[in-house]
Amino acid sequence: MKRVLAMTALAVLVGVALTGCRAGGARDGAGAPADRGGTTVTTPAPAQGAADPAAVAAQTDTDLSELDKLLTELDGQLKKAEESPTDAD
Amino acid sequence: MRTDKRTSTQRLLLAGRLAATGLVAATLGLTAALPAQAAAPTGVVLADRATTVDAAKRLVTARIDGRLAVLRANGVAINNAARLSDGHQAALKAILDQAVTGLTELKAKVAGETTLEALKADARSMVEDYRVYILVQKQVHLTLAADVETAAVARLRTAYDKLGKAIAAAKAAGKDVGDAEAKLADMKAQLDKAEAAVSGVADALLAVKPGPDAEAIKAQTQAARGKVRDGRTALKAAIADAKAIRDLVKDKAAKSK
Repeated sequence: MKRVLAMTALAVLVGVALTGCRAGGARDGAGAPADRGGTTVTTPAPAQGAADPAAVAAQTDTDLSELDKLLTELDGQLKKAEESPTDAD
Repeated sequence: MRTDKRTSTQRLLLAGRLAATGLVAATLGLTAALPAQAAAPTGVVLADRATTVDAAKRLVTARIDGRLAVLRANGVAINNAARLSDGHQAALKAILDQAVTGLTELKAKVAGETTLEALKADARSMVEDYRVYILVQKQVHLTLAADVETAAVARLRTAYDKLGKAIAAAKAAGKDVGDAEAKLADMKAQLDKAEAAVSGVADALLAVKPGPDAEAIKAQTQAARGKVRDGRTALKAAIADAKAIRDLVKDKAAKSK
């Protein structure tokens, strides 16, 4: 009987100890909420206005491709504006 | 008797020639609507008045149908135009709707006419009250063109900002930026020019109303077309600058690796 009681007490102590560790430690790598004094890890945002020449050149390529389409559309509209079955009326 | 026969034959030949050369409109008194066509002898016209009235109806109806087809095609164009501003789209839609309604009513009126004089008035109304070809067609396509230019200017201004930052960064890093700064300055000047050229063009054009003075209407549409063309020229120059700067920036990026 004493042995059973001792085993039960040990199990309870181990459980309490484990629960205490879980509550106090980090969980899934997340920090404690910032409003409770913990730290929050965030991915740094790219600096505003950064001008990586390669990235700018690539974006300009995209812009210029779109602008070529706009010019084609513009020329089409100008041509249609000049087409008329009769210029008299 | 022989003289009468000759006269009849001559009349038939003349009528045939007139029909063949498309001068029926002139013989029907529609010269106001077709000023370039010559008038035919009155005697021929009066030979069969009922037939002539029917022919006139068919002609005027066909000309109305041609205008309605153009208006419907323009309606499709403005519905599909991705870069047309909401305000311009609404204004154009109102112009097209009004013209379609008016010309449809006029077509019904033409069907009920019994005299050449009434048909002549209808033909004049068809032209002067709507000006589908010299005004509405131009309003639609030049407004679409102006709004495309506005969209292109906005896109180029964004590219201008990015290219400017790239040049500044390269310069700050001690790299030779060549004539990129001069190209960038020219790009800005061309964009300002394009924006100034197209500014207010569509609104002014959409305010033009149809009327009897065709030359005044043409002067206004030609002025609008000239401004849109000026805007296009400036845009092309700005795009050329952007391409040159892009190439310089690419070159610097490749050399820095």
